[in-house]
Amino acid sequence: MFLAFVSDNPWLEAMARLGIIALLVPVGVIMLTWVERKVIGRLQMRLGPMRVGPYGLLQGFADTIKLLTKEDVRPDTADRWTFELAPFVIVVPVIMALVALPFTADLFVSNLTLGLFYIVAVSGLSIVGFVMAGWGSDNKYALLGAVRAAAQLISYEIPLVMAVLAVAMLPQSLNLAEIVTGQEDTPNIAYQSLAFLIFAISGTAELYRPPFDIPVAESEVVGGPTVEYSGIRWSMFQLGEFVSMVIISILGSLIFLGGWQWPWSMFDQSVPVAGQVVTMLAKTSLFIFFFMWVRVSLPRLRIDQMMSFCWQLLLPFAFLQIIINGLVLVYDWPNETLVLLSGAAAAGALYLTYRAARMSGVRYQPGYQQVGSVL
Amino acid sequence: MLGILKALQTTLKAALRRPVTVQYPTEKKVLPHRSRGLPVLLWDFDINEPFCTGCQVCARYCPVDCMTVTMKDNPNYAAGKSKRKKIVDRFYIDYARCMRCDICVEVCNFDAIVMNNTWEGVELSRYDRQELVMDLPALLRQSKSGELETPFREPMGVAHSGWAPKMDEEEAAAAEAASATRHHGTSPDAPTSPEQPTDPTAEGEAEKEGGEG
Amino acid sequence: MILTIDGELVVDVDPVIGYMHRGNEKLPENCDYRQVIGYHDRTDYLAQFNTEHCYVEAVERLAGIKAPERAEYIRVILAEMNRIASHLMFFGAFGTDIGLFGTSFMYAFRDRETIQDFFEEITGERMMYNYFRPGGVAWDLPDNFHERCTQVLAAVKLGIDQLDGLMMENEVVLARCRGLSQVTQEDGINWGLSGPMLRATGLKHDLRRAEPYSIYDRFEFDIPTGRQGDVYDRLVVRLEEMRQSVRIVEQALEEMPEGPIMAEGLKRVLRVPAGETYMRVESPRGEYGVYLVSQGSDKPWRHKVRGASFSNLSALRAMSVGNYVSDVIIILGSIDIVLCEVDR
Repeated sequence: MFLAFVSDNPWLEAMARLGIIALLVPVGVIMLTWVERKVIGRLQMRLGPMRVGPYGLLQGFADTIKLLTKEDVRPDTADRWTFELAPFVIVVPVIMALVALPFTADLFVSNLTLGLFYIVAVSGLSIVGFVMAGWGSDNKYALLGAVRAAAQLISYEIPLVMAVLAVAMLPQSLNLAEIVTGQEDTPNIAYQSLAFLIFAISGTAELYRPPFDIPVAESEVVGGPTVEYSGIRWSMFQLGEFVSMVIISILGSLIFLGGWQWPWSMFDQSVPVAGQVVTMLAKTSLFIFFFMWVRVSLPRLRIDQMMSFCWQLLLPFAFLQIIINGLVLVYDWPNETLVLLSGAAAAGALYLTYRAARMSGVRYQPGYQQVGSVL
Repeated sequence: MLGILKALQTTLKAALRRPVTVQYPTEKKVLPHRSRGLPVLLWDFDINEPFCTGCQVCARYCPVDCMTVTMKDNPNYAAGKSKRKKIVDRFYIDYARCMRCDICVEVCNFDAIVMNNTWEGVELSRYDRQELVMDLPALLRQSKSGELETPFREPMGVAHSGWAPKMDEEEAAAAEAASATRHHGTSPDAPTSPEQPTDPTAEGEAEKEGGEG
Repeated sequence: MILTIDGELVVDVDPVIGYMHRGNEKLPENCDYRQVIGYHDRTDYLAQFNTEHCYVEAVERLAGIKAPERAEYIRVILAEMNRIASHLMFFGAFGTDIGLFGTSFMYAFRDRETIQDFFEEITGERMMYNYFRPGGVAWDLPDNFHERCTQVLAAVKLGIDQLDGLMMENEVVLARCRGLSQVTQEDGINWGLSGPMLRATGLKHDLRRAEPYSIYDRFEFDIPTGRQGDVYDRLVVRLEEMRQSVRIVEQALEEMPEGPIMAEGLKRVLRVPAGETYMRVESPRGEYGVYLVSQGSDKPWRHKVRGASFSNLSALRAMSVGNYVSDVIIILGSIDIVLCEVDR
């Protein structure tokens, strides 16, 4: 492709591809912060940043320069190596996950056969980073926040992995490129609506975005795991969060929305690279917009509500999706039955969520009256 | 689930409304006519002296004691140019203390003090709090330069405060006629109804100046 | 606020107050009756017209002055619009407390700014109006008052519906607020609650109906009540109160007569005959009262303010013991306190 001149030596080729990612990722994340502030501003009926650069485009760069020039503070009694290595332990696995993600048919670093498995495995390493940050801060509340963050991350990892594996059952491959080519006629979202729902919700929880942001928003209330960090280390936490958001969005558009080739493949068209990039960008931005939209509209859940939502609702339905997929594969039913079954299960999950929310928080006391519409 | 969808829908529809941001300081909203800034003194252009005679009524009625006023004999009176026997000598208002309650404007017998309804009356950041104590030239500046064209004058009639300055008969008759036709508190920018004068504040000032001159 | 917690549960709550005390009751003893109005603006800085209304009615009662009709209508319109503005501020702040990323704040403040701009066109100030006087109001309304008021009401109705859609049926809000700190009717009365907190428990007590002051007995409006007295009921009561206030303003706009805005025959310096009175109004927070003792001079002898937030805040401990820490913040937000009323 465009890297033909280095294609002889696989090491140089890998370095070139990695170099492109290393350049694009920080700039992309900086622009993503601008996009987030603008989109959230518009959803709240206000302009976002407007002052720094035309339409505030340079706001992210200004913030980055400010963060990079801040003093690197470390508490005296903090455990030095744990404290200082924690941001790296969060960011490095996230960027490692980028290695296996194909952006288009040719733009990737390495198309692993076990691509999906690799991504899921590597993104689970960030949990250690949060616990390290909380422990190394020598701060009671940071430790509390870190333990909660770890609990949330571990809990929501399971439905996420189940949903993703359920989708991988259909093309019977963990290779991301094959999953995309398997969606030539219809994207997987039509067949696996329940898995999509679980993926979206667990993804939001994995990213610590509202409504699941109580561990990191504890910085407003008590302390979060990142409370003692400043300057460049704190910016690495943010980098990790935004790159994870990009990874989950790209993953979602690859395995659910049809990747770079749908809807063009429906008409048997082969698309040039630019077209594929545009398609992937459009689908990824749908996901990113969804994350920001949900952030603006929903308040945050309490930690016990979040945990019970995961274990009592998402996990059983994730297993249900796997069982449905298994039945379809074993009995060789046509894929259209999946639409019905998965759709019905998704509707059931939504209904149960609705019921749980309406009835939740009601503590049974003597003399308590039936909740209903108040007026 | 439906509630969450409704919240999402509300947020999305809100994105279609016009943003409310006014990008201060490149854009500033239009201050209404009655907007109360901090008090400033008015300049009498006919005689070229302030309206204020230094009678200290405003300083006495100020709830927070932010004004210091002294008076002196008016040289223009001795020269026969003005009807004011005394004129203000020194006038200090501590803008940091003023609570913009408007009582000084209400009680002034000579309509000499008015709340500044321009942006300068509210844009008062200073690096040192001492710079917020305004002296007489600073208080007269805006009126002298003509920027303060249409201050808000609420009526100070007898019914309002129970007292009116002594006027001779033609002045009294003119004031009666003015308050009968003038609709109290009209903004010069408001849509006027047919039976009203178009710029009652200017007419009122002209009446006053015509009466005193 | 000093919280004693056991793990995640709250065992004891001790609000420490007094940091906002500014002498709101003592300083007016040196001020004449017109200068005191500014103090009331600053006591409850979100419902200024309601507090001014209480004070000037107290002075009028003592002095035997009757404000003219037009002044009464102006007072009611402005007080009700101020109630809407105060409740909008509550929704903005509450949304931020429960974790909405500033959305409810922006929505609420868009309409609150509309109302404040409208007030600026009438009185000149956006917050500390100092507009009511014993005997009437300070000056008359501008010419375009009717059109502007109708415009503002239309914008406010849209804003109320927007906040309703964002928060009232949101399942996450329900999950956080339903069933939290339920208060029964007897408890509400015993703890001294008033205003929307008392009405959320189910008691239909509104001072505008129970002891009608000014001209409130001429208007038709409902009194929204809740059922369990929990945080969600308080939200609903405040939302519906906004709609009822819109109704009152619409009725008052139609009926407002022309005429003088100040009582006749008032002296320049108001001397109030000796006596005492306690006047209370329904402010957006609850029962706001002024106890005025006069000894015949032009300054009040004793000027006591009964702030609604003080009494409502005293119930915080009973309401929050046994809940989680993150819930206590929501409960505190739902009381809708104004610190200056607590400390005066």
